[in-house]
Amino acid sequence: MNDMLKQFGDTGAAIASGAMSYAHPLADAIISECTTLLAKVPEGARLLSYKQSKGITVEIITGKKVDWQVNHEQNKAAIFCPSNTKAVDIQEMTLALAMSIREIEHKELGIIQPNLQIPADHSQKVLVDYFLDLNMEMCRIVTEFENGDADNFPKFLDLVKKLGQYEFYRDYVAGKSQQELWETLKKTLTN
Amino acid sequence: MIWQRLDRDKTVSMINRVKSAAQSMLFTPTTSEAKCLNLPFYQNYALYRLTNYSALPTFSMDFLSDGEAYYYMDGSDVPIMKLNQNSGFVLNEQTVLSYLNFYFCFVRLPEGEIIILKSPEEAAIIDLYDDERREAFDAIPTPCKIEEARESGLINVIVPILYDSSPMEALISVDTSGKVTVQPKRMLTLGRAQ
Repeated sequence: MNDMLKQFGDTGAAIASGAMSYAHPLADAIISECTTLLAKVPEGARLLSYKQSKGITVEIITGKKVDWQVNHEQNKAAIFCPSNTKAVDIQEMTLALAMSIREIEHKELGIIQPNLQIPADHSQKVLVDYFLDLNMEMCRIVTEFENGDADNFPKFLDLVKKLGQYEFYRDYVAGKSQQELWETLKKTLTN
Repeated sequence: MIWQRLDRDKTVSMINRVKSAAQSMLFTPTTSEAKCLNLPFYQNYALYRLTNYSALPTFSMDFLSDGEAYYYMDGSDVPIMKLNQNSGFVLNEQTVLSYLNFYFCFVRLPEGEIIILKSPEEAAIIDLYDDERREAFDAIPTPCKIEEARESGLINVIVPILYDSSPMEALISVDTSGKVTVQPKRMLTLGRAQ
């Protein structure tokens, strides 16, 4: 985390050729930093409270890029972070934490996890609904940083642009309806 | 470069080799597929990918392996440098571009994402999160200059790259151990140096 954790360095790879451990060597520090940052905005604080109340477990695992994977049955999320944390922005990891908690919340919200078993005539709607909620959640958090944390907001906005979702973000900020955002996202996903 | 799908037995064997009890949530034989890709700069190792298809978007983990030992690609250059010490590492003017494309795909650098551009113009349209593009290890950039400096053992490559989201001409040097150094030389705009 090149901005926040100056003591972070290249911790070396978790290489193994037998029983492996993918746990990130700085997992505790990463969780702590991301939690602190996410708690600065109301929606982030709500997600963290939801995580605690539902007993959601979050593991930080080394990986080539920032990503996450949830397991609804085990009530767990795995968030991936490159071994060298100097190469990662804490804002990117913080959003991954937020999105993973939100994705676990999907089950309660009735949002279906896309999968290959869903019939083709229904799969696109499921896929867009899934990404629509995550995108809206991301925009909700980023706009809260825009309004309340000028130091961190530019990095969050850069990330939205890198993800190719700047048009969606502008539409969200402009107050477009969920149906209009659905159309914006559908266009993005099919381009 | 063509991925080869592993059969069921080899997939199960790979999952058993690479999964740990703590992360057993990630892969199961019923929802996973394994495949491998030969790399021109490794004689004895290939890139192995395990993909979980139980949910979308799919999720993958990558390893360098000889089919027995698996080295997890964790975003650092450590697994690559470790394998490069083996006698099967072949770095020359013919393999250096594939090696660099591979290296920048799997190593997250402090200076940010680096991609060797097929041309400076590609900077305007490239998607950093397009995995298929990033995994085009055999992509040939234009312009491209490759020189082997015999006295130092370095292979020097001058190519257009995307560096910190900007198109640059860069001198990339690779030593015999596979260590990569990037020196941005000048900004590029639609193919012209500024």
